[in-house]
Amino acid sequence: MHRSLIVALALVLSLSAFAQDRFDVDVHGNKPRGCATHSPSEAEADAMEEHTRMLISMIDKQSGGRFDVEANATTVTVQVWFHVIQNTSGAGNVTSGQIADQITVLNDSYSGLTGGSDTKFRFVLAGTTRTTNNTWFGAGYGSSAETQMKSALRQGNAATLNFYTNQPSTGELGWATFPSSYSSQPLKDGVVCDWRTVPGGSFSPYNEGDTGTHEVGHWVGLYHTFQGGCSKNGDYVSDTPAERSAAFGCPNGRNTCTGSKYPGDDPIENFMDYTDDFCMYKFTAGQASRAASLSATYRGL
Amino acid sequence: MVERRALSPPFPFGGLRPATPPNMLFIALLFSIAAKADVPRVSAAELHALMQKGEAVAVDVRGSVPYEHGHIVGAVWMPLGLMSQRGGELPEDKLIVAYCTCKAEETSLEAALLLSSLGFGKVAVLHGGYPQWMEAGLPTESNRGGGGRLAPPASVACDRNDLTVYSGTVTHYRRGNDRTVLVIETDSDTTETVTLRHAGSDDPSRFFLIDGTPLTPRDWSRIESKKGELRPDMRANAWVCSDGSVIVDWKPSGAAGS
Repeated sequence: MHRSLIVALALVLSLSAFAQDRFDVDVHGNKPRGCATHSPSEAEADAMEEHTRMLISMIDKQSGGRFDVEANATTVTVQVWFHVIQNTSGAGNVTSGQIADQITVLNDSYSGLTGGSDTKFRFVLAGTTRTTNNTWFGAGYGSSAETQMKSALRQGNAATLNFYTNQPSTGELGWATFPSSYSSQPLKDGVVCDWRTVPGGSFSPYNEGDTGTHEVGHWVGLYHTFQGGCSKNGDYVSDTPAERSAAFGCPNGRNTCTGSKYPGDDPIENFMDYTDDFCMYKFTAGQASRAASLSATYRGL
Repeated sequence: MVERRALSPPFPFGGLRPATPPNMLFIALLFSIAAKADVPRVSAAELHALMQKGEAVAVDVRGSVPYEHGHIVGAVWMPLGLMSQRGGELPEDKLIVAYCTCKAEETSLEAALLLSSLGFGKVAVLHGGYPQWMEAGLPTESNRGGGGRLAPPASVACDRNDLTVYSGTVTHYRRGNDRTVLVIETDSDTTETVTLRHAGSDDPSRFFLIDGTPLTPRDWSRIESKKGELRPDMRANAWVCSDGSVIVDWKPSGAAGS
């Protein structure tokens, strides 16, 4: 009987048509969110804590401590690989000084120096690659050129930040992958920014390096502040006021979710909105907490 | 808490393997059907409650595309094809609940049987799968569109302080002589209806862009399969000014940033 079961299973398995890729990361899952409750922040925090405990216990048990989740660590240093793409006309040539400045902008933003909460993340340049390729230079979000570029250049593992600069022909300032995407699409992991957005670039008013800060925010697990519009869960961070849709410029006093349920003006000063670089300067404590939790779970950071 | 239900057996084998003796195959098939009928099914509400208590883990056994499009918050992604390699990563002390998007839990049942064979004692499937979870309004998470940052295209004249953008997949579309109406399911998980009023203008480039550049009449074939009918899964960024003016930037390449 037992052998019959094994044969049955073998047959069932032989019919599955999924790719047999091997990935580096061991644990996959997402942070739960509170729901169906009138005190979302508390319930959410409880659920998050419980789930994180569970995942950490899974990591401890199954990976033999391959992920060192240090509960008491005050900071964690992210190794950053910078991949500079330029075209045959020489456009895209981000200087090493600009790369150093972008790293400094990340550290200033994530340490709270610019006025927000201190997150646990710090950044150090691990290496730089430089490639001349006209197709990759114009690679936009979701394009085959993006896949080729990343497959060829990616360094490190789930904990390594791969930061690509090019000039997307489809017009985005930048984009990033989320921590929970690493398990299914490890080669696509990382952030891409228009080269003119790095400090000293020409993409005014988006040339102070905050596109990098914003994209890395996604990479550590943050949503836009306008995620979900005025809905109860919003961006799943309780201390960012609800926001109906993206803000641009620097519209002081903008308040798109009104009424007693939605206290506070729109968080236009938050790095995870779409306002001008000079206007955005902070992460909240809730964002720091969410990013720490998701990055520990999925990136071993 | 865990409900057992008789299963109308699906026929899981698409073809015979020549090397397998017919009688063996028959026995295997019968055994498989019997085993599947024994897999407990939990409802979406039950799974949610168990996950909140830390007593269950949801396992998404679908491919990466549906997973990225939307999954149960807290789910572990482990498609059927990777499960024999990676099943050991799952916790042994929790109820493992496999789910799929399939009519009668076909794939999740296969996953549950496989996990049992790997030695997991507490295995179940989500009754009704992911559609039932969504139906119940329980929390999901989407990685759709990636996370990105958009800048207004040069031809958007609206003052940035008065501007917003809706970026996502167009689910409803009506192009008339004087107006065009779009419904966009945004990457931010909202549904937006946008109306462009273009009465008296033959020049689409005043209202429409394609990947950031002005639309010419011959570009419509990249957006519409025939006049008035949108190509499937078409994405767009609708730039909406507080004065009511709208410019729609079509993204046939799938690009949008969000």
